[in-house]
Amino acid sequence: MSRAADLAAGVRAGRLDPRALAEDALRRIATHGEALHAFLEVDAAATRRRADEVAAQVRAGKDPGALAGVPVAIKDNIALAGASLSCGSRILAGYRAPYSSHVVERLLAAGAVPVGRTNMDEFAMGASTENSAFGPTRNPWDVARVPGGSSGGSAAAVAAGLVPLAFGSETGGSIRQPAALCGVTGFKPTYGAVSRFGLVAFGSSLDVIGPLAADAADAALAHDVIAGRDPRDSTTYPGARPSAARAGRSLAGLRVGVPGEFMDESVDAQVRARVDEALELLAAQGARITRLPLGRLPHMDLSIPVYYIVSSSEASSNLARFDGIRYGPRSPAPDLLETYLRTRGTLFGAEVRRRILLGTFALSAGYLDAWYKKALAVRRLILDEFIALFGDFDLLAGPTSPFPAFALGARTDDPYAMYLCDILTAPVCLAGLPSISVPCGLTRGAGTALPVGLQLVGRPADDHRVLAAAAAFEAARGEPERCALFGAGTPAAASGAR
Amino acid sequence: MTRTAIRREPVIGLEVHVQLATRSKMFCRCEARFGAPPNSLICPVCSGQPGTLPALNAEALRLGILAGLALGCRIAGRTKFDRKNYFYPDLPKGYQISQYDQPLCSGGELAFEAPDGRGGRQEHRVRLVRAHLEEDSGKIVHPEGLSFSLVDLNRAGVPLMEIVSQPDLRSPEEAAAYLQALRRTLRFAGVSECDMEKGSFRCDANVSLRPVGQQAFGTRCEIKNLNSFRFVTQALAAEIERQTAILDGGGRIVQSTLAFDPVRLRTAPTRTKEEANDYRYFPEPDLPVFEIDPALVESLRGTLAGRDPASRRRRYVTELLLAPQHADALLEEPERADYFEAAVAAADSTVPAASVASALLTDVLRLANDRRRGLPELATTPARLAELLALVAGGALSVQAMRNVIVEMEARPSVPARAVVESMDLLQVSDTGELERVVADVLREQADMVARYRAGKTGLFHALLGAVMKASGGKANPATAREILARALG
Amino acid sequence: MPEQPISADDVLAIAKLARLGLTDAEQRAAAGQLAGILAHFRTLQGVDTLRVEPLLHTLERPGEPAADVVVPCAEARERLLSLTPHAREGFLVVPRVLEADFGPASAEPAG
Repeated sequence: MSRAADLAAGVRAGRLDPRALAEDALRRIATHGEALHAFLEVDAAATRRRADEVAAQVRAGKDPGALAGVPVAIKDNIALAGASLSCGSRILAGYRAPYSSHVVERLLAAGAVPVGRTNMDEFAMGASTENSAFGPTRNPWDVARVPGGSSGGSAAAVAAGLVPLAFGSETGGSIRQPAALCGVTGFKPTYGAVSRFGLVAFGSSLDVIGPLAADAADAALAHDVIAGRDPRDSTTYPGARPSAARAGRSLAGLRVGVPGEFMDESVDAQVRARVDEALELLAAQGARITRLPLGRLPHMDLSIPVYYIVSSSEASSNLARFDGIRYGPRSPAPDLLETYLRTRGTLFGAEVRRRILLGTFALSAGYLDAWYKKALAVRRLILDEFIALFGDFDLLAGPTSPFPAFALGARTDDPYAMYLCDILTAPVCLAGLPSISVPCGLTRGAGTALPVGLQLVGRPADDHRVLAAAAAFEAARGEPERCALFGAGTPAAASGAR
Repeated sequence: MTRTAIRREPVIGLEVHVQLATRSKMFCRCEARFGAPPNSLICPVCSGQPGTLPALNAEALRLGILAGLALGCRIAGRTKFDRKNYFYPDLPKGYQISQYDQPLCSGGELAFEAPDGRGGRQEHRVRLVRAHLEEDSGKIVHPEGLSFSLVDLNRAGVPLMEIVSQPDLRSPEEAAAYLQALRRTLRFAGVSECDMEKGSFRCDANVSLRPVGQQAFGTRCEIKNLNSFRFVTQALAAEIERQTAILDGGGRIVQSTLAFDPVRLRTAPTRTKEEANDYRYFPEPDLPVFEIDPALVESLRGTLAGRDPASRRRRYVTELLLAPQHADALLEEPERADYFEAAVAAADSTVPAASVASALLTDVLRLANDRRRGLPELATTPARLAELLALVAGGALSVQAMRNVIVEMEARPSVPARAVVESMDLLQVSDTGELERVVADVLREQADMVARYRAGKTGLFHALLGAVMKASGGKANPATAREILARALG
Repeated sequence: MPEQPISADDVLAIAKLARLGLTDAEQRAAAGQLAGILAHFRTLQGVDTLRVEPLLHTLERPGEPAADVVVPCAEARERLLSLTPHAREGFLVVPRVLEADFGPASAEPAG
């Protein structure tokens, strides 16, 4: 599977045909689609039309943009006009987006070719994609295991080489954790760096859109295309600078801190081992690694309660619009109240209902101060502790996920067990920091070798440094292990622009 | 049961929702316009589509500050928005973006006069609690006898200001007077049209009763959605009667939300909210805190100085020497007051302000009504009226003839007033030399009548004056003619 | 600070606020799960946050309001009403919303 950057360069130079690239992607998806269930919808006709448009631009001597002809997969909670926007839920089954998100507008303006809508945990609530109302996605490394979540479909699509580039969203870990479990690179930008206009809201103060790719250079390329202030999203900030990743910034002298809280014994031993090796590799490239004792992030262990209270509270409000009144299926009922109760009661899945109840409870009279406001205060403590660390370090490092991909069904009986998937990623989301997960090896020993992800975390708005450091690490690491599907099928031979 | 003879006083507080006069909606750029076909002024944001976000309208914020200044409120240094969560078909997102604990404006008061019931007027001051920004909901229509309701989202997202008064009002008439004064203040500040028929000025009333002299409040009921001044007084009166009857009979008032039936003149509990709603207010995460620039506030305060109805009335009466009832008539509408002041500014020193007022309130307003135009749309601009009044003051035009001239002037926008008067052959002769000749001629012709006048029949003066007017073809300035005739008759 | 566990009745009240229709079995299950989750989260209560401001916005930057310019949405009504079959003559159709009860229906106005 070629890199997105290479494909775009080839298309712009007239060496590669966008239509051929699209057909390749469609063919690979059709071949492996059933087994993985990474996609909820693939509109081959629309994909071909779009690819032809890009080809026409090249023929006309126009530059389609930085992602010219690149087939991209988009998580089904990011709006593309006319396409599905199910968010993995039956309450939006059949809903076609009446507008495109800001991110999709940028992607189209850069010449990208959307090939399909990827599977996800319902309304992005989950860490395994098992909460999708339309069946789980499977991990290409071992189809009996989960790909992680909630952007499991996007991660699996890239890991299996179906597309070179995919987009997902993260609220508590939903880009980086599936990237880690699937052995790909997933980037979560600083909160506010990328417009959320057109991202179906889950936790408004946490949600971000980011790329999943085969390497950090492609992630950086994608981020540059989609980042920047959007007047329609009042939480975006201007001045997202183009990434320096392609400049191959060296790691020499970079001060990297490894908080004790990132590497405690709740982390699987094999995961810790791969991360240790990655840290040694960073050190060998000149980075100054400091392993910290416990105590620099004393409130990090409260991240799960804080994250779930805050995100569920916001979600309980964000999901109130799903009532069948203006769009989506509407359950038949004798009166208005029953219409609401039945539509929402039957069409939301169990995890979504659980979080709506939790959030409604946390915001309700008599409990607001004890739960919601309390969680927001502890959130500030967590943020302050991270900011204090960045007084001494340029980056923080550690594992992305405390364990590698687990078996389908292993954590579905106990919601809290699933919540623990986020213990290393949620704190970073609460602080709004930019962070990337890069593959750093496979687990060894008995059983299937499974990918392990290294997470790098940067200061607020320091996205380009995180991307650059990741690219430098990847350059030093060399080509990572890929699953068997990844290299199967090559892109169309150069046929020149017609 | 015997009726107890406790004297109770009504305690009334009003919440008024005012639509701010912006072009676009509060959080999206759809047009904010009344009367469009249903669901034609909407977009993904105000129709609550998944993935959409709010973007605050700068003009709504500016008008909100202006309204707060006009009402004597404290303007917050920073203001934030909150979500008010509840389910209703006219609320597309399932929550309303409003302001909970950091409203844009706090405090404030409104001073006004109300009839005191004995033929006079009494001054009142009502304190305000706060005024905050929020978005409007859509509209629901209930077709008679059918099992469904219809939703129109054109109004969803229109910018509103909610103005909350302290429960300082003590009668339905006072409440109506408060609303009139509030409406006038906001119209004069340019904040809102305040048109109750178009729904840009809506009132909810809170009413309770307590024994006179008691400090503690009684249990209150809220009457929602009163959209005419008459309904407000009727509804309050009906509710006061209802509560009085209950209390006189030894019962207790149950706190409730009510609607008013203007046909049966009764209030009754609404069934739309099944139980007291827990709105679960929390800060709106999609909107940052907004810093209010003190320089902006001061500059807006400057634009308001002296232009409020009370200051203008003082100036009209004490400096411009208008009759109080003319001043009040001019201050009913900001258009009138602005037109009046522009005409006074354009007029030269021969034209008293009183005559400007008089002409505006009779002939010009009549013209505007007949043409179904607003004052600013008339071709008879303040400057042209001032010209015309100068002709009258100089004796070249009679006051009676002015009305017809104004009609003609309206039809000929680019012709100067004097030319219009001339073309209508209404230019009066005030030239004394000319008039002396005419008078002399008449006295010669009417020598008989003159002799009888000088013999004592003073009533004949009128007939002789008539003869002079006739001889001048109606163009003699009556006052001048009168003077000359009187002198000539000795 | 709530100490007692969440009962099925509590869940019913919350579910009604959230307009989630739950079966009795779902209510009981939710009560158990929520109680379990909240028990895990109880550690929050032990943190001293007396002098800590709640973090309302991750990015503490002041807002920039937008200019008051009308941007019409093309074919707005068609696009909205095409999203649901419950539309009639330009309106969205919903089950009857009940207003105030003024007593027996009568066409005659009060005296």
